Amino acid sequence: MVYIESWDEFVERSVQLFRADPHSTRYVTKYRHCDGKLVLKVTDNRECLKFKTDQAQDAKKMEKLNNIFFTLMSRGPDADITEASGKEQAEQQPAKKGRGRRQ
Amino acid sequence: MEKINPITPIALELIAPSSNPTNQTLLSRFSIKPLSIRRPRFSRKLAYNFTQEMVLLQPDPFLSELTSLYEKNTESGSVWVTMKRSCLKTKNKREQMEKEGQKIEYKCLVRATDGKKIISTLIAAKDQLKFQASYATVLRAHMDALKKRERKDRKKATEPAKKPDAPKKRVPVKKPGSTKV
Repeated sequence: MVYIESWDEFVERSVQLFRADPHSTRYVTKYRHCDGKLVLKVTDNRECLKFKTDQAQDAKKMEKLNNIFFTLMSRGPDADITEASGKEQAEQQPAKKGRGRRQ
Repeated sequence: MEKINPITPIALELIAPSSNPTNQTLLSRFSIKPLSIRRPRFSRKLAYNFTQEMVLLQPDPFLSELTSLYEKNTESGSVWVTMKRSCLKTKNKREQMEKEGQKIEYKCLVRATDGKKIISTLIAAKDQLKFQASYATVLRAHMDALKKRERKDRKKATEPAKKPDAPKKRVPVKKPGSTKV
């Protein structure tokens, strides 16, 4: 399976995939500590989207995607995900600034 | 109400093969071996299901088990976490319930495995915010083998070069403040 390079494309397409078929779409996170690798996968058994990373900053993006999927899966495919993704964005920005000053 | 399907003779043979001495011929006619003779087939999927017991936990015990999964697999091994929208009912039952007009309660099924042990939990909409926050905390605590940004590395590389100058300036400033006054 080919990995998707762009994070935004991965998020957009995986949410689309889930909304198209909420019953058979699953979201898998694979973390391998010894190699420091993180692989995210979203599939509906027909199409498979994958994203691979070894960067800590992508783990933060993944948190945002986790929240999106928790919202979608527990509240239904029509649930509003702007809150889940919006809040995280608001949190991330000040965090970045804070780090810059400390160093 | 009385229209219950009668069990066909062939089906009876399969249910109780020993009761009828002709069962061997009957079974062989349909090229079916009696259950006791059949060799177990171990497709990868079946073996996976049989050998591993999936434990359904409450969200909080799940998180503590997940923590121990991550800790067990730090030196080698991987941890998978799967999320799926589910009601833990078969497709047939779902369709039946839909026909009867029952409401199906969907939840978010979360499973975690290291390839040896499987744990799972169900997250209802009301628990979702709480769970996602504590799940994020667990992840942040354990996903620390990922590389940090390149920019940081560059800064770290340049900082030691600057440091020898910086402490010399700082030390005389600190001394009068702390000792002499």
